[in-house]
Amino acid sequence: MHIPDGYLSPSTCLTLGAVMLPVWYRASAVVKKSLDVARIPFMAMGAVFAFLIMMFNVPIPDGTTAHAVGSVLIAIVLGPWAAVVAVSVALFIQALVFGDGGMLAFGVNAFNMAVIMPFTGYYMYRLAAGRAAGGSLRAVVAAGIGGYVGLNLAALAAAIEFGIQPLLFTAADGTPLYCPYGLSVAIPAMMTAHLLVAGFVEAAVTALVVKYVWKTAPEVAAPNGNEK
Amino acid sequence: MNRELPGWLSGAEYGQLPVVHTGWWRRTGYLEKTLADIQQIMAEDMYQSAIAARTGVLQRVEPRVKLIGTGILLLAVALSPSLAALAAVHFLLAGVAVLSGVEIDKYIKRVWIPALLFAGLAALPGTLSWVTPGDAVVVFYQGTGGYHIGSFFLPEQLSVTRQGLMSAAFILLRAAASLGLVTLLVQTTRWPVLTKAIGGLGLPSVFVMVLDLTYRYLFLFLLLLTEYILGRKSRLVAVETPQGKLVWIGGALAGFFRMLWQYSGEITAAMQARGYTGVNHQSSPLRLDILDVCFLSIVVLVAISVWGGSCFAGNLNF
Repeated sequence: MHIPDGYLSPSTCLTLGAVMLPVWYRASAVVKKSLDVARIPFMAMGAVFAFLIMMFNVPIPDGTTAHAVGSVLIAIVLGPWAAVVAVSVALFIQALVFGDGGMLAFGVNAFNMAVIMPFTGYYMYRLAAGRAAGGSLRAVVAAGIGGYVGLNLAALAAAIEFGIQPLLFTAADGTPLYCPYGLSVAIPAMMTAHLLVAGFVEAAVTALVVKYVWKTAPEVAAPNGNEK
Repeated sequence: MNRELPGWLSGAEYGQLPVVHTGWWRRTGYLEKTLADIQQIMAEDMYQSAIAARTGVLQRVEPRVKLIGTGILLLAVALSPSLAALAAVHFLLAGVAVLSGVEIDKYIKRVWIPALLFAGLAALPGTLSWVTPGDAVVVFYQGTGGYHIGSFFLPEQLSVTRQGLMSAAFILLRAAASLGLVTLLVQTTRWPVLTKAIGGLGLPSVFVMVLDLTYRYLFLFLLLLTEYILGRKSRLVAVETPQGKLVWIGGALAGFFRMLWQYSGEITAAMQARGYTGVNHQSSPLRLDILDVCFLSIVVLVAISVWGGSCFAGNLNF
């Protein structure tokens, strides 16, 4: 899901980058308000956690492996605004240092994985968990549902961003200047892989980690999970 | 008293970390893959530190100027409507890499392998007439008419089109050029200097501090994760069930979350004990020398050449 440079037009990248500016401002203000001076190490450790989640190769049934993104998981245990900062920082370091995702497309990747994914997944989780106690079976299953929904909506956003490129940016002779796949190709291609495989990986990782965090560190999860 | 730094501290050479190489046909387990990924990141970081300590052309450019120059070129590459201009940028980047002490084979591997794998392969189906209609270059089949198989429509002809090839070439060259620019920036600038430069260009100091802390502790936790995985591997005597693998990953990540939370508290306490108040003075006055001015001038000239040609010809479409 890390979009490299070259697939999206600069205007798409700059527009979504501009959308992200007030989001980052609001996220840092919310985290600052709730955590005061402790915000800096907290945000940094959140970013390290996001990076570690993305590092883990998770086995999938065909014998290969996939990666979880972890945005919904971080939103559930630390709150959605903290997830915005943590995942954005992890994505920035990945793009800048390890070439994973484009630098120009950083705003787009952050919009998909650090905004759409944690917020939709987190509120889906809240809806599905209802008043269930943290760590209960219903809350764990709800976390999995949140992970599944969040990842798929982020993938859908990426597919739409890809799909609008040939509609908007084509040379006079019909050569697509950026992504050549229209909506009718980009959406099925992205969604098939995410609905059938990646979504379940994300759901399993989110549910299991949430379960163990409540089991081993309830003092951390409870105040930031259900009540934020 | 000897005031000279010991050789191991002052030298720019580095001990290369062993990287696990397995054939692409050989499927390795999730633990081995994760270990290999971590080793790759560690090796990459060591190499970057060694390159940043060398005295090449880019290492001598003021970091903020280098950052601005990279930004201008990233935009120019993304806007360029000319394949020839993009190809020229690649030759230029390779030349600058050599002048900055980056080994050319390592630069090519670092830029072109990910570009081909992540951007190139995904662009390949776009060369077909089914996705990008246009002038046929290679025809795979020619039927007498379109066929409907259920909701699937098989068109009259399947070919590689000139427009499709051009589109794929644009994507590949742009992705590789962007990766090359960012690689040269990061490899020739030490991380704390780079984040300070980003702060100097307006990023709030809170974020600069978060970036620095994240980068520093990332490697500590990657080392801990390596030990964790090696511990797991050394205890495995039977074949793991798929469920067992997922449960272990869940438990390991939850353990790391708890550890990170504790570290967060300890780092906060340590920072406050040293008088940290949340105010972070990062910026220093910008002093440009002749090399910085030359660098910026060349960057602007290259950017205008890469982006400008077709713009003046009235061909601009972005």
